Amino acid sequence: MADNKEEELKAIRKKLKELLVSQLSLEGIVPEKIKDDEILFGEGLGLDSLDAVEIVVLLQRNFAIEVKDMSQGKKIFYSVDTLANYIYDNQKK
Amino acid sequence: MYIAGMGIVFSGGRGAADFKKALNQGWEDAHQGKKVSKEIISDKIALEGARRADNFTKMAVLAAVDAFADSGLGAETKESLGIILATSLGPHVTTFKFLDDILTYGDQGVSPTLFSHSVHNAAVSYIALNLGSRGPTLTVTQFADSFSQALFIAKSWLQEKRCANILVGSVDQLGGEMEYILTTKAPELIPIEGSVFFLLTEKESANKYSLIFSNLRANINLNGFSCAAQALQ
Amino acid sequence: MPPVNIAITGLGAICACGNNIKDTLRSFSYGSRNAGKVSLFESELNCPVFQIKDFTPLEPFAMRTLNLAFQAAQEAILEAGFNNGFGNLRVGVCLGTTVASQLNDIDFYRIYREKGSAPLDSIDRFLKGNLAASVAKLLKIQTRLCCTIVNACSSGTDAIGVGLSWLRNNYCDLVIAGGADELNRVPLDGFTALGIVSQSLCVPFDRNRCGLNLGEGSGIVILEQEKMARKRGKMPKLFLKGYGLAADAYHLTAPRPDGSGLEQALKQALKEANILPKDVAFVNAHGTATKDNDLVEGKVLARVFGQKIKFLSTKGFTGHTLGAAGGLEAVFTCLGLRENCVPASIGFENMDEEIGIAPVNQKTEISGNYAISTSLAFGGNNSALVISRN
Repeated sequence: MADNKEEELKAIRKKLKELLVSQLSLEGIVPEKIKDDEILFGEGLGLDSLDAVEIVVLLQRNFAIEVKDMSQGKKIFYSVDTLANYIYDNQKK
Repeated sequence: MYIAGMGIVFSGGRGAADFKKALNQGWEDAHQGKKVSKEIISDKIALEGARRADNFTKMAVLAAVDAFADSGLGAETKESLGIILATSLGPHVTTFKFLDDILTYGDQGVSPTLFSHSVHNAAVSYIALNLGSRGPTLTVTQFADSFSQALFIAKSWLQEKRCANILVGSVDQLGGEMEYILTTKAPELIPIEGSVFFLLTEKESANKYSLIFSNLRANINLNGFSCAAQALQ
Repeated sequence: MPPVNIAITGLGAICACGNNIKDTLRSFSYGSRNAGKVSLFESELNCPVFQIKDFTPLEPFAMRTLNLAFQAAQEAILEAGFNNGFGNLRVGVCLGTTVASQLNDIDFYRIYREKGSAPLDSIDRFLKGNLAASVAKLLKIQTRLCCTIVNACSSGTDAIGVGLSWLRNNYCDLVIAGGADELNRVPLDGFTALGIVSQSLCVPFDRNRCGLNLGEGSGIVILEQEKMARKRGKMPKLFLKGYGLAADAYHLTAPRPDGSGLEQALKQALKEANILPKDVAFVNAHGTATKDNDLVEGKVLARVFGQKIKFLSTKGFTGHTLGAAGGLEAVFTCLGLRENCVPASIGFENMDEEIGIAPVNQKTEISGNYAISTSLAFGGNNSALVISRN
């Protein structure tokens, strides 16, 4: 079961990294080179508030997930890992 | 008003040298209806901070920063620059992409980034950000007469000392939808895709080109490219 | 340049409060908030908008925005005494908008994307609908000075500022200036996607604010040199004394957190008007009810004018009318000076400690001869007008 979860998370992280690069126009960044614990905002990938709302749309379109409460955004969108886990948890529901 | 610097982006390239070459080859016919390629507007250094920008904005930013660089003005003048951008049709390529989003994903599934860039003054915002300009900024649209109107306002701002130097330019795109519309309905409004910016000043000593903007009331329907052509004579 | 007094000799307004100034003032005094789900076009969104009801366009085949501007312009022109035309006066038209400048007809695009071609009847309205040029044409004004400003949310304010520049430089004798915008699916969807639209009635500057409501309308002022107005027998009571305009150079959608762009615009406007902050009787703030705007703007107002400044947002009555906002709010600022009072900043109940000051929460008498209208736009533009009364 744990292996399954890790396999799924690995697939989600891979897809997520590709989507972040393409949908947020992160030129010059190779998806495979983004670390799993890469921080999304401020440092790390250096995303901003406009990227945050674009990620909401990305989640909707690609994972059928609605982020209802943006005040939770800081926690969910902290890193590639936290976002991938959020996707995993909400896709299962 | 005197031209202290000029920047040009068009389907034949970027900068005065490319434009002069095109002029010698009869450029209007050669470049009418042609698109500005991705290669011409790929400049990671000049476009730093503009990763999300659409081509409309990229063309404007490059022409504007080139005009500033061409002027030789010191970096300390950037903060107080005025910026006026004139456009006939605005970033319609992005607007149509946004309409596409609405039809494909519904009212609740659209891209906020696309929307932000469909607002006409997004390009000026990027120029100001790129140059660190905190002076007055404006975007105007008046179909064929946009650039003339921008020059009128620039003249009044300089006379009022709202700013000492001002970037005035035009930018337009020709996307598929608009090409279809204009070809059928209003061929006289078909723009040349690209952007031209002039850095204008009231200091005669800064004048670099053959064209001086005066007697604006007598000149109608001026456009950026025809002015650039005159300036390079 | 020698100083020239620019008078405001006519006002016109149409918004969800009313189709003219009299009805708008009545709505202010009753505290009426005429909002509901949009019915002008189909939408999956249920957020409240301030849509104008019972509006009969004078030009049925023209864009709604043009009709709104035309209606407000006629009211202003009538008040200024030009109902029989402008004679030999040199007239300029400077109007701000966002929607009217975009080709955003979704029905056209729906067919085009499917078939590669589409009927172009609705496109006519866009091609013939450049706002300033079309209003000039409808008013039978022949002029070279005709400009449509597309500076997002500060368009109307900036259009009035450009009109001021034209007059000071003697490009014309009179300017019809302001802004207009209709409710449209593009900004409604776009602002919703940005997460800044409230699902309930907006509460500007309130601690619990959670976003804006969109609205539509038009606000127009007639500007002319005071000496010209007196020459034709008018004794102006209101004047446009100053205009400030400054960029944030910070972010495409968020205001600069320290508010220095707005502060710069305010200081320029005050300097042009040759007054001090203490001379300002009240400020008609931009006050959209988004977290960011109201925080930045509120703190700047406190910093520049002090804790006791009287200020309000009228967007609780009109919604955020985008290109029209600056025009409408200039009109409301004039009305505040003329009526000697301002309405409550409707919707406000609880002070936000982070802002530190609160808008007026009831109808408030004002004393003093100067007032300010501020606008903060997408893209980081900041504008301020100083208006005075005799």
